[in-house]
Amino acid sequence: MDSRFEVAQDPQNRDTYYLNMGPQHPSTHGVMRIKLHLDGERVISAEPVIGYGHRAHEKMAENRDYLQFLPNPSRVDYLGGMIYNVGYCQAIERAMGIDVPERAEYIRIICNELNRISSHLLWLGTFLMDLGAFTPFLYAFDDREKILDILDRITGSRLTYCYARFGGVSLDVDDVFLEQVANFCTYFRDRIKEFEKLVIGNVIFRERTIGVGVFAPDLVQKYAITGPCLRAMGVAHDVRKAEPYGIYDRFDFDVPTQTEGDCFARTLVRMEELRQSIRIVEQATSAMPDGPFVAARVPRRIRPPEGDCYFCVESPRGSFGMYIASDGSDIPFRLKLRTPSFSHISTMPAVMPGTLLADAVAILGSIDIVVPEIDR
Amino acid sequence: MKQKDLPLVAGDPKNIEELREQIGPLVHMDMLENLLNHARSRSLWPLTFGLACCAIEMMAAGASRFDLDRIGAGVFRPSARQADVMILAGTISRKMAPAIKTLWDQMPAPKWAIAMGGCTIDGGPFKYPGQYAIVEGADKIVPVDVYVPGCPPRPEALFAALFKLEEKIKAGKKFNR
Amino acid sequence: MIADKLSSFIRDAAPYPERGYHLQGAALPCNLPQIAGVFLAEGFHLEMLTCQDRRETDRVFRLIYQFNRYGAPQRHVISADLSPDATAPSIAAIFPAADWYEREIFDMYGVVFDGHPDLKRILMEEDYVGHPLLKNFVDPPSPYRSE
Repeated sequence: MDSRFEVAQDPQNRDTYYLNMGPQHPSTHGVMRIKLHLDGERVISAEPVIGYGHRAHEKMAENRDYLQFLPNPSRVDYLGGMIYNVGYCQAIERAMGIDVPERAEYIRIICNELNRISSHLLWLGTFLMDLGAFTPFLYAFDDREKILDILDRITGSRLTYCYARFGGVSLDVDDVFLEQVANFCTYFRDRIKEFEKLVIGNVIFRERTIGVGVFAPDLVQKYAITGPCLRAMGVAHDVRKAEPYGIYDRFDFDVPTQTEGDCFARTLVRMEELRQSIRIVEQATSAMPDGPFVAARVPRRIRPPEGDCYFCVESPRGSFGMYIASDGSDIPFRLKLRTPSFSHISTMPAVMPGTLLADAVAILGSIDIVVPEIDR
Repeated sequence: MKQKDLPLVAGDPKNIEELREQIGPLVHMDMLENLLNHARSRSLWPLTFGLACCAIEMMAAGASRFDLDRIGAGVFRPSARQADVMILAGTISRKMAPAIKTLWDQMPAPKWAIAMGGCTIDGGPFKYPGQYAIVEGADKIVPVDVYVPGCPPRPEALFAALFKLEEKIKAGKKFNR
Repeated sequence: MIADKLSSFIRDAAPYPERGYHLQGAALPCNLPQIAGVFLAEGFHLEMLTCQDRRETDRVFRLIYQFNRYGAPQRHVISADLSPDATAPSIAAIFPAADWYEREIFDMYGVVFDGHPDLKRILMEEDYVGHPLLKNFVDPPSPYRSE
């Protein structure tokens, strides 16, 4: 056996030992490794070791032109693929000054929010499975499949979407799509209540999450925490509100917050976000205008003007940013992906010490990581 | 078989070969082997092991709509010691390769591997000049039985792969490569 | 106001609607901890830290520090040009978020940060040779590559 993956006794203190969680572990949600220093069941220190899912997206960007990079963003974070795909297009559109037709903007909003719901549902299922509850996983995947059916019908893929184009979307939607979306919204509103009854009220779940994995308030600024993890600490920051991209400023939705900053608060925030996403989808579906779905004049060669620019979107996990340094050619000089999970997992050495081993699993589940997004 | 035809002196290799041909196998294992293979093909226990995007489709295949339990392959085992099929779902990074080798070695025989998705077939979308981080094809690390193309393959494709694997297991040594 | 405190470093106001930045600035690497301290005191967080390999054109590595704050966005970017053989000061003591970003830059570009608590590779294996995001990078032979 490879000695790097072994359990080892601490030579200095015979009562403590090192334990590897991962790289293959059911609750690391992919391939990540956490080196835990344990005293019995209590965590003394935790050191995440990342890079097991490194796929060199950034080097790839420097090897191909802007259009060829289009399928990549949805593979960086495969759960929020649509949001990343649309976000990349929006970044290029802003840099190039391409106008997007109204209809395309609305389609993008609907797809984005449906994707957010499906991502949160998968998180809910896997998080609860980490805590030992198997049934919610089946419920969540059942609803997730309904969303995937809707998106599959218009985009042609279930997971790694490549639907957005510079200046719009690749295919138009029809009335059947709008009807399916409206039906889903009606269905899902009741379903959220069911989830809350099933999960939030559950005594075992509350015991496992309340007061567990509290992020100290000073971590926010030091580690640049974003997304639901941030909102569970009482900071009402959402990129969709703070710097609205696309047409998010036209919709009426709330930014849910909790103050405790523990696993339970993060769950409540995400449950409420499901509701807010449904609100946005309903508003967008009812106001969907007619017209073209892709801009009439899109430059044939995508060459953003020389210089740096930064564009960020609210992914299901937090603020996802793209830093594009262009030298005026077809190929990006440097394309840096600022991913939220990377920041969140870097807080683990500060959050995990003092908790129990079982709670470490709960913390890891509650911050909702996607490993290739950490490693890129 | 006539007793008097048998050679009286054993030890001559040529004689032994003749002897074998005359009497055939002493114990017939074929039937038992077929039965075992049939049982194996219907209770594939995959290793809980997701590498990247394809893992989500593997989970979807195991969840409510597709339900791998219908074909007896839904018992995902977190420990390699209990699993007999490794579904390599996603890009294998070079950093991960030794760990996968370890997992494969830990799995008890008979064992099988399914390469799910373009990345595990030959590097897929991540193969380009200058790529420095991935393993271009799972067969560089473990012997792969079934390849499933797609980026990511749909759950139905994973089912098709498992059916193919069932065929292969049932055919046993008669499997036509 | 942050612009007053850092007036000697801030070069110009960037057009936010096009660039996504409010202020852009350039600094000498040795001033980075001081700048980071000012941003920390003003309630900013380190949103991103990255590097560019500009050795071919300008003979420098360009470090890019991006600070932002919650609420109404105030995104400021400070760049620092570093000659290829020099080291940069670490700001991991001020912003712990920089710890992993600096390790990533060390891994990908080979830039060394002075005063970093544990500067080692983060994404590649520890025995890997080379720094992949350099423009002149050539991957060493590997059994995992098919030709």
